[in-house]
Amino acid sequence: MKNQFIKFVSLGLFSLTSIFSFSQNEIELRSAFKQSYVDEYNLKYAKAIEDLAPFANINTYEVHVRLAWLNYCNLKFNDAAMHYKKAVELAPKSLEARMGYIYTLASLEKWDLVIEQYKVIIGIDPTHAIANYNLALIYYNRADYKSALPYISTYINCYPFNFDGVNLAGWIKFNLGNKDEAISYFKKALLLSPDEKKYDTILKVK
Amino acid sequence: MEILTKRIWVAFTFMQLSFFSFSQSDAAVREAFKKSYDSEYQLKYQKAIEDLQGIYEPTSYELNLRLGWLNYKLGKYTESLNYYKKAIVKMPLSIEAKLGIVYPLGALEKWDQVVDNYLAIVKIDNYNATANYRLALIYYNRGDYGNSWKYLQKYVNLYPFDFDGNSLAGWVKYSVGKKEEAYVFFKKALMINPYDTSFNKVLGIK
Repeated sequence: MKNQFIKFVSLGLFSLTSIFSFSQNEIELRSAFKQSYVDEYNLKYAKAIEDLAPFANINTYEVHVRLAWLNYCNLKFNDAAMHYKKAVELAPKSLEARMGYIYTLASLEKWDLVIEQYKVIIGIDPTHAIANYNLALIYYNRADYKSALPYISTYINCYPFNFDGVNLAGWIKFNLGNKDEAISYFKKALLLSPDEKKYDTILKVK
Repeated sequence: MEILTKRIWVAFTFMQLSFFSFSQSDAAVREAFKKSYDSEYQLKYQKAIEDLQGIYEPTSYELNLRLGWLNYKLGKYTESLNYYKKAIVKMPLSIEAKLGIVYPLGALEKWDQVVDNYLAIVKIDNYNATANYRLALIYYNRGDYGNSWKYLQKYVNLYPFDFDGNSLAGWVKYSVGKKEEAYVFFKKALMINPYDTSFNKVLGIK
């Protein structure tokens, strides 16, 4: 009976420890994250990465996302990309990780991969504002105005009175030869930023 | 021949005037917006509204959106609502207008209408982060944990390492008695903000 009671108490204590409290490892991980935030705040990115180094091999989403961000801040773009890639593999729907991955790929000037990732985001969230706008911008910069058009259209349907959106829509339309439509967008852009001068030649504003 | 040349020239000049230049009306609208931005910058919201009144067009999306915002800033919530409603009628897919209208609706404590507008956003943009998180928060505050989780799970899937998402997910799960799942979210939240003390009692942290 006594043994049974001890077993019962031990079991109870075990479940309390496992469910209600932090394991030693969790306490250390939390402490490492805390220290890494302090170091990041002081712009000591290499130190912030070191703080998390003992946990780098535990393959959790949170550790990879954090290490990716810190490596990105530390300009170690290849390491950042590697951690973001792992984070995205662990949480394929995570837009925060994918956006981070994209910024890293952009720093590495891997624009085709940037496009690929934005398209994955649009596959998850077709009206995602940043993905649509940035895809339109990349295609515009490649002078691929036809490809830019559907993305900027989606963006300005959702955000019709946004300077960046109407400005880019104007330039895309202008380059496609749809000047009336372009001018209509430029005029909207001028309502948002009345001191803007870049349309003066086209609009003949004196 | 000379007449034809004149006609072409007149037609071309007319096209230039109509397509390529800023009409008197365009210039007045632009000037009015400019003045209203200056007044808003100086926190003179009443003046910013008056700056636009001379050019007000009931069917203009841009003017209704701007007047919706300025009246909200002035504390004239009913007027603000009316302008935002007109903007939404003009551009039914606009997310920016729907995100705008929830401010006066919230100020007037018309929470059912706030919910309706967030639901309308989610219909257009299923994964809209702001709408999903705020719907989850409103339903949580109403004790409707089922609906809260419906929207929150989309948010935490896309943003798995976001403090607000993990914190709210923890409280929703805790409220429906799923304590183990709640602790997982609380622990993630503590990785993001190790200084937070709002879970201490639940997690037994001294």
